[in-house]
Formats: sequence, C-alpha cells, structure tokens
Amino acid sequence: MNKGIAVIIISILLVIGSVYELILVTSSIDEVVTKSNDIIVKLNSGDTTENVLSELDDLFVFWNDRERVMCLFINHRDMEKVGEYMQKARSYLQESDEEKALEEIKLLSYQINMFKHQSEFNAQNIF
Amino acid sequence: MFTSIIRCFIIYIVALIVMRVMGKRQIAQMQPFEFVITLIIADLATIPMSDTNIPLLNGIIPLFTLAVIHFIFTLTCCKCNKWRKFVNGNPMIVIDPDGINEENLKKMYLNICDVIEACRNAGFFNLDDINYALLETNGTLSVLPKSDATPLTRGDMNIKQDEVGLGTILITEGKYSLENLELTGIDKEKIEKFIKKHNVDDYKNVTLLMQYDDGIYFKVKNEKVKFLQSESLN
Repeated sequence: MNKGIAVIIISILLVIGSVYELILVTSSIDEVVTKSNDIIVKLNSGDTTENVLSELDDLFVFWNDRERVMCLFINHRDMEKVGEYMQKARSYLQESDEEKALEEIKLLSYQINMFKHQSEFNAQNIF
Repeated sequence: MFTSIIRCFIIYIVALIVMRVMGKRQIAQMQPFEFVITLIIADLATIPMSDTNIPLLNGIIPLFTLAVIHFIFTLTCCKCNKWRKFVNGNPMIVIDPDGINEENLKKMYLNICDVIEACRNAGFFNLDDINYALLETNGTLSVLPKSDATPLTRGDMNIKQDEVGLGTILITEGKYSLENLELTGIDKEKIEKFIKKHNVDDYKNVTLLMQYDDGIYFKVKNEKVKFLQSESLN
C-alpha cells in the first residue's frame, strides 16, 4: 500500500511538473519572441538607437529572470546562446551597426522558437 | 567540480530511491521487463552525471517515470495471468522423465550444451539424476531430482526433530536492536546480566548477540565466538 501511495504521488508530481514546464516555457518564449519582434520592427522602421537599446535591455532583464527557472528544463549550452545573441546585438547597436544587430536579434528569435518546438508535446518530439 | 560532485550525489540518491520503490524483486532474479528497466536506469543515471550542460531533471524525471511504469507492470502482472504470460513468458520443461525435450529446446532456440551447463550450475552433473528440469521465465533452471538422487532427510529416516525458528538479533555492532527486544520481550537488564556473566563490561563491545530456539550466538569484539547451547534470555 505504501509503495502504491508513493507511486501515485510520484505520478501526480510528474504530471504537475510537466504541465508547469509547458506553461512556463511557452509563456517565457512567447514573451521573448514578442519583445524581439518589437525590436526587429523598430530597427526596420529606423527608430533611434537609444530606444532600441532600451528595449533590448528590458529583454535582457526579462531573460535573466526567467533563465534561472528555464535552466531546469532546457540544455544550459543552448540557453547561453540566447544571452550571447543579446550581448552581440547590444554591442553592434552601440557601434551603430544596425544591420548586424538585426541579424543577431533574428538569430535570437530563431533560437527561442527552437526551444518552443523542442518543449512542445507532439508526435514529432516523441519520435 | 563541486557541481559534478553534487549532481552525482543527487542522481545516486534518486536512483536509490527508485530502486527501493521498485522493491526487492529488482535485486533478486529479474523478469524480462525488470531487466530492461535496470539496464535503462544505469544509462539514464550516468548521462546527466557526466554532462553538466544537461539539466538534472532530464535524468531524474525518466528515473521516476520508470519507477511508475515498473509498478504498473508489476501490479498488472499480479492481477492478470494472461498479461503476466504475455510480458514474462512461460516456464518451459527442458528435461522430463523421457529425457531432453528437443521440441521445447527448439522453441527457445536453446542448445543441448546450454541445458547441460545450466544443470551443472544447479549442481547436477548427471542428467540421469534429473526427473524434471524447467527453464524459468527469469532464465534460471529449476530441477526436480529423481527420488534416488534426492538427499536423505530426517523425514526419510523417521527421525523426529522439533521445528527451529528464526534467530533474533538482540545486539549488533554494539547497539541494541530495540524493535527485536520489544518483539521478544527481553529487556536490557537481562542482557546486561548475561554479558556480565560472560565477563563483558559494556554491551558496546558486543559484535553480535542472537537468540535462537536452541541457544545463543555470542560474539564479542576481538574474542572467539561462542554458541551457548540450550541457553536462553527469555
């Protein structure tokens, strides 16, 4: 009976953990994608460097905050790449190289979307 | 390095918990589905141990999932014979009173030499001593010897013998086994008197004190063991 109870508790925790992971990863990724798309739009529309940098800093703060929890579920090396793209974009913007900054932001968006695809519950991921 | 050490520790504890949840069956002779799970656990545990980039949960969650799967399989095997046969298979008779059962050997893709080796491992060097030999679902060979080849027992010689019970540990490695003291109704004072009678001042020097039906097994540190026939602490 004790073993049965332990197994039931483990099963419930596994389900709750899986749901939590799905919700957390999806919401974080959606937020990052939205913010990075805003930055891309601003860069394409020729907005001031200060505004874009400010958006990028917001994104960076948001990412740092979520990274601590998302590291529990996503490969750490892949997570570091996101930070790397943000830093590179920041450096390019400071040097007023908006084209390269835009490339880095697009790579960032792609990487983030990859996390979303990997964490989704679908047949493709199972097989 | 500290990270690797702590990760290793955590994975080890989790694997231990999982093995305990799966129970003693896992440690004894394994059924096929248990063997599979044991192999997988070994690999799952090492992957996040060795690569610190992989989240620890990537190893822990599959381990717990396997424990749940194992429990479900064990439970369903207990409740449903058909399912049990499907998962574990059936034991097969490889030797019967007519000799080696070639048909069953063929079904299991077994060689006669494999059977002879298994018989030797079971302690039977002469196949003529075997009445039945069964290949169990966990791969072991069970042998029913012929009456002539069975060891003589007291029953065969009509020698009466009182039943012998299990021994009870009272002191082990210098510590009282409180649960057993309560079970047997033996109190510490009786034990203290007993050990003083045998020139032992402190129970902490006793390696092992066990009460049997027919005597007491008494081992003190750095001294020769004594079996005190017909003595009892009850």
